[in-house]
Amino acid sequence: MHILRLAGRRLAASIPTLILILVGVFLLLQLAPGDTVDAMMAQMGGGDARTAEDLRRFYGLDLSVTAQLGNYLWRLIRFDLGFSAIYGKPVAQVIAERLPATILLMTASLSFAFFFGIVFGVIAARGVNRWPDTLISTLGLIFYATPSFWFGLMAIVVFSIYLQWLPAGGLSDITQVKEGIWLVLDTARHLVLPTLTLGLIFLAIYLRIMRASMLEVLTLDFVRTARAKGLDETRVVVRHVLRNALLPMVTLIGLQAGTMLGGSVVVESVFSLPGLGRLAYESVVQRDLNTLLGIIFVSALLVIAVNFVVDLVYARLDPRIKTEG
Amino acid sequence: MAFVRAYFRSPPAVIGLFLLLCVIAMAVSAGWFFPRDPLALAGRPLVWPFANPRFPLGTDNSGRDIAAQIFYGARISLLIGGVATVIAVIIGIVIGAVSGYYGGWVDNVLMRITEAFQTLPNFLLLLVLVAVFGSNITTVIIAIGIVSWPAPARLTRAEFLSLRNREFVQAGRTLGLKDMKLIFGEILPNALPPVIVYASVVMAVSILLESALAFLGLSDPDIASWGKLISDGRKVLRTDWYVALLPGIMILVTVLSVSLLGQGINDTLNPRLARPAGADRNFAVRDLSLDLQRDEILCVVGESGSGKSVTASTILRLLPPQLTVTNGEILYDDRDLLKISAASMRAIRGARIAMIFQDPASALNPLQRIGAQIAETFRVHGVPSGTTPVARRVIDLLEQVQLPRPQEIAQAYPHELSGGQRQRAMIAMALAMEPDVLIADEPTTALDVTTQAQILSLIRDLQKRTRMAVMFITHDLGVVADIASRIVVMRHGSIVERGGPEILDRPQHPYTRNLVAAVPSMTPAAAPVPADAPVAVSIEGLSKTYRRRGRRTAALQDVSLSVRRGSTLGIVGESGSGKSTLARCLVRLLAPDSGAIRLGDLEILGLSRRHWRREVARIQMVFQDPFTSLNPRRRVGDLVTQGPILRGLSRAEADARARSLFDLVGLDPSAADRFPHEFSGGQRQRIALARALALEPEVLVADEPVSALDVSVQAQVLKLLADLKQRLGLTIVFITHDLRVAAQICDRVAIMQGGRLVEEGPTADVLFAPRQAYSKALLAAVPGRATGNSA
Repeated sequence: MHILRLAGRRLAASIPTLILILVGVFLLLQLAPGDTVDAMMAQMGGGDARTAEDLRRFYGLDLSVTAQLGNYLWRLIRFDLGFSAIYGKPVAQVIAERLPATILLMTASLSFAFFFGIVFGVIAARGVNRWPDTLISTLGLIFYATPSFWFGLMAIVVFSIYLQWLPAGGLSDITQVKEGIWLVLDTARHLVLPTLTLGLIFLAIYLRIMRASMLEVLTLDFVRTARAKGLDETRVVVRHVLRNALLPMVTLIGLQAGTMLGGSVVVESVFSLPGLGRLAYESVVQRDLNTLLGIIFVSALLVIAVNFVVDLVYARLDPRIKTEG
Repeated sequence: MAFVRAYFRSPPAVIGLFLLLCVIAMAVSAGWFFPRDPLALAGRPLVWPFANPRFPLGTDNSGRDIAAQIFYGARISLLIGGVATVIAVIIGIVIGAVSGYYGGWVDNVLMRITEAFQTLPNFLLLLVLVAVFGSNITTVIIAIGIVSWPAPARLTRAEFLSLRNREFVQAGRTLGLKDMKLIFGEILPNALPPVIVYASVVMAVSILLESALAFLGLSDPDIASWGKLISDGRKVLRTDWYVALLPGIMILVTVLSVSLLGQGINDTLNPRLARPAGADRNFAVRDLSLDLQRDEILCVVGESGSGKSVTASTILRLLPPQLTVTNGEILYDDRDLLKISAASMRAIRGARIAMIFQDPASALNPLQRIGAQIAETFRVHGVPSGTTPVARRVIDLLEQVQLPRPQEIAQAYPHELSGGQRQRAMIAMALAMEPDVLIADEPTTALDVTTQAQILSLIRDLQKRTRMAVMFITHDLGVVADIASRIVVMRHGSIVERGGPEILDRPQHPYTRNLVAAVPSMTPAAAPVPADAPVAVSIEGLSKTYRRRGRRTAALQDVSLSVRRGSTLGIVGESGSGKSTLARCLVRLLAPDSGAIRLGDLEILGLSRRHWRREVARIQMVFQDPFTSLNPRRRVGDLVTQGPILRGLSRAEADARARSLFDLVGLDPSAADRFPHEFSGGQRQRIALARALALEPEVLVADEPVSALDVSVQAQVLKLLADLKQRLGLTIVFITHDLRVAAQICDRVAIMQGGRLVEEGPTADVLFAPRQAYSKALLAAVPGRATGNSA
């Protein structure tokens, strides 16, 4: 109960943040040269000024900026994200079609980075300043410095073009229709390279933090107490160090959620995945501002949701949270 | 210079610097090697590397020279990465500094904005900015700077939050420094190093962001950049992957070099292997022999750096890895503990020989229930099956250490207990397997006196009942007098004297004699000031309540006191008594909720900040911790002259005053050019005194000025204070938890508890005829009193 109340409060606190983002980005987009109607006219191959004026009136673009903002926020409350002139569909529908791929990619990358980050971080910390540590830390630095889109391209060259082990793009094989377990396996095969590509930099970050966190916790007094009790090193690490060392890792997931979503823009472009990131890129190129604003809204919601879960997990891990409230 | 030498000692740091210099060299020499536009058509498209000597790295799909694009790309990466980093770090520092320094609603608003920026995926924001303002290079630089500032802002804010209440900042405030001077002169220089290290991360990310933008075709199309080259290479990936290969490696190398550089600077600024205190000798402990008998309490006494804790840890082989035993043996049960296998050692730890530590708050795992932590000892060493179940044993143990409601305590987490309760739980854990030996390393140092008295009597009782051997490490001779059956005195890693409790009364070795003589006596030393002396400071009905997360703590409740000119008032209390809050209210570091404070006739609480800065010299403060109360980045001469110069003295006059003050507090005036870390704790406290006295105050507020010092140094500083008071006719308000110290220096004593004044009177009256129950309890708890030790 206590945890739920805490989480509820955090959720309420993020509403002003959300409004700040929406108002800020909305006003920012007002500064953009050309509006949706210009983009539509361009797509139709031009048209006369009257049509443009009618369209503007139809979409409420002839109103003052404040009125437009008010309209937009009012529609948002009713979960109406507006209409995408480019896709000819409601924005909500466009986004809903693209959301699963991004969530799939993010979950896979996060799990990959988090799990191997912990494993490598622990191995490095246990052998600090010896060869496993040097090797892991060096690899971590190199992974961190690797631009993801380039890594993706090189992975395609090696694994798709030369070895032909894995598909070069897309979310599933469009030449065959698959069902059930085969569809899952096929999707998984398509996701291997994108997951590695997006997860690599986060793996580097997580392993570095885990290593530092382990080393830090190992110097704390209660670890000495555990040793004085007669525990062997494995039990000291598993029962006393690990959980304490995990706390900063959990916090990091929340802090990195936005960065990861941003990274998916590039990775989805490299692997032609039908996700939110690529949609964002397309709507920037096509000046589909309604869709862009919708994506920002949904991304912010996603980040807030991730942080909400992180808060719950953190409160489960650390009993000190509950009493401090 | 020392910094440069330390930096070059780390190979990765040198490699990073070398790589970065290479990239810079490429950027600088691009125009010289490739005078033509790198994006101009140069030859046939898709010439592979090494195939044509004109294009050593080949050409891309439009027939442009790849080598030229690589060289010019270095320019763009460094330019965009560098300038965007400067933008982000400057915005971050300003916002973080303002937010962390002022706190309150300013902090709230700024952090909301920061949070909004962090909630919005940074790359999406970058896309929006580029979409709105176009893809030219200036926009890209500014946009990357704008999306990158939140992280440095948070870091700066965190540094400011931790620094702004550091004692040296408060000291600056009591000197009358204005906010801007505090922010930029005192806090920022100390907050900057981690932010500068972090700038390398910002730069690495900026370079990656720029290349990603260029890869997507959203950066400036008229400029050769690595990201753009990769994007071109992507179109011919199946056949001519070499186009994309090299620019990617360049990005990797550049980002790697920046990361290594940042890591190198970080390692140089914070050396990982800091030498432990007192490590200036080769041997922490040398040629030490002692024996510990069943059924006795052996006290190992010594000041800091004497090697007493190292001795204790060695017995259980719990030394930090940088310390090793070179020779000797530790015999237990006819076995040499230094030679037995790790497994046999573990079987002894916690079962046959148990240990408790100084700080019970950090010695317990914060994430595990007390009961589980005690039960773990049984799980490790095993209990015979068929006997009492573990859960029952845990409760029995908690009862043995006299914890109330043992069932609840077993279910509690460490943070839910008080300090005394935690130490009792630690003792319960140590007693679990009924050990032969208990090693107690300063087990009561972190506790209040009344709690200390209870824990001492608990250890004494348990020892009598179980007849175990106790090795009790302490620096406090009073505690020794209360508990020891045998005593060993250590200094510089060797034993200087050993014997029964009588050695406290008849010490033989000169060091022990000095040590015993340094313990302040309970006999009041100062004569009371005549009652007709004018009042220097008076406090009337002072109240202060802290509100934190909805909980209210009354730190001061209706406290009234007055101090006559030339007198020293001791304010004595345990933690949470409100004594420090009172001290901070006196110098206006804290604003009380109600009440009045008068300096002579001047009511100070109602003064404007500007007016107060003019009066600030009249009342000055000395802080508790001499290691945090001096700004580590200022020379000590500067620290002392800062106040006088602020009040209009010329530099020469201020220097002269500083020299005479150094002389007065017993420091060599030539010390003025050195930095605080070059001085010992006692010397630093003398510097802090000189700083306070430089403003020629009427009243000196001293907040626990000797509690962080070893007893022999403490005696010297107390003597100096008494001396200064005589010579300068000072009025002193002396905050302390130690009744012995109060007896030595104060002519009047006020005892506080839970924010209330319990009683106040001439020192002799309060110490020998306390009227209130709490004062009596406090006096009874003073260690070394029960045995009548007059030390």
